[in-house]
Amino acid sequence: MIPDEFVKMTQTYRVLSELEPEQLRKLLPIAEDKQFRSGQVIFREGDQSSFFHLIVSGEVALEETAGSKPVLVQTLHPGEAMGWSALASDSRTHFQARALSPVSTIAFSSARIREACERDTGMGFALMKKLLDVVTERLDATRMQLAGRNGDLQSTQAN
Amino acid sequence: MSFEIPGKIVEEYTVRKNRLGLVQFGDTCRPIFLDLVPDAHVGDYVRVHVGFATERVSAELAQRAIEQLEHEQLNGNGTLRNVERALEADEALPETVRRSKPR
Repeated sequence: MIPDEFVKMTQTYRVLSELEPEQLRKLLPIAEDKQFRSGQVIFREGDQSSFFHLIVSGEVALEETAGSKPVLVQTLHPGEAMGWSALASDSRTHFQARALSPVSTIAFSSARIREACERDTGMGFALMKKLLDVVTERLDATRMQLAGRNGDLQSTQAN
Repeated sequence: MSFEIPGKIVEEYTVRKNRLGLVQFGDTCRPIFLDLVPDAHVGDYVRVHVGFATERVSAELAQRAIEQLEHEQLNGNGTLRNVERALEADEALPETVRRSKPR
């Protein structure tokens, strides 16, 4: 019988754990552990993207801060990624990320992960494919969330 | 989830295509990926970086690293405090993971 925490760990680390060992060996040396306190702002909207994060534990709120107070866009959980813009050249963050609980991440500096992907395009492509799976799931979840909100809004208007 | 001292594999599992182990660091255990150390099994020592065992090390080398850590602890060096900080930082991990004991 496999303990639940091992199954959960493969899900949480899926972006990395599904890479081939030789690809993982090239990526791990540039990975860093990062921890954030509950309530800590991990990055602010409009910041120069410095790190791409894979969430290992804890929850993170992605917030829109253009208005008078932050608006929750999405809550991220273990296994999800944040700081996508770090993978693009000369990019800035689109949202604010704030820890809702103690958060632990595996972080990759923007410059180093881009350099690693460019140096080994095979590894870079494999990583991007895994990340795209996570992005697709996030878009689906957001679409469902929006569909739910629209449904609530229509019910309210009908009443 | 990185550690300055090697950990000892006390349990081993295969989950889908991954091989994982429960690895003991002092009196604390963590689930760790073993895919990069195919020759490491229960009873062996490994170095760990961000949740993945990256290198198998001999029992002698592991023991020396642990003894050095204990020596530095006695002399008030910051190395142990660094390890303790790493463990404290892992407080974000689920309780079952942090406090797992070898069976």
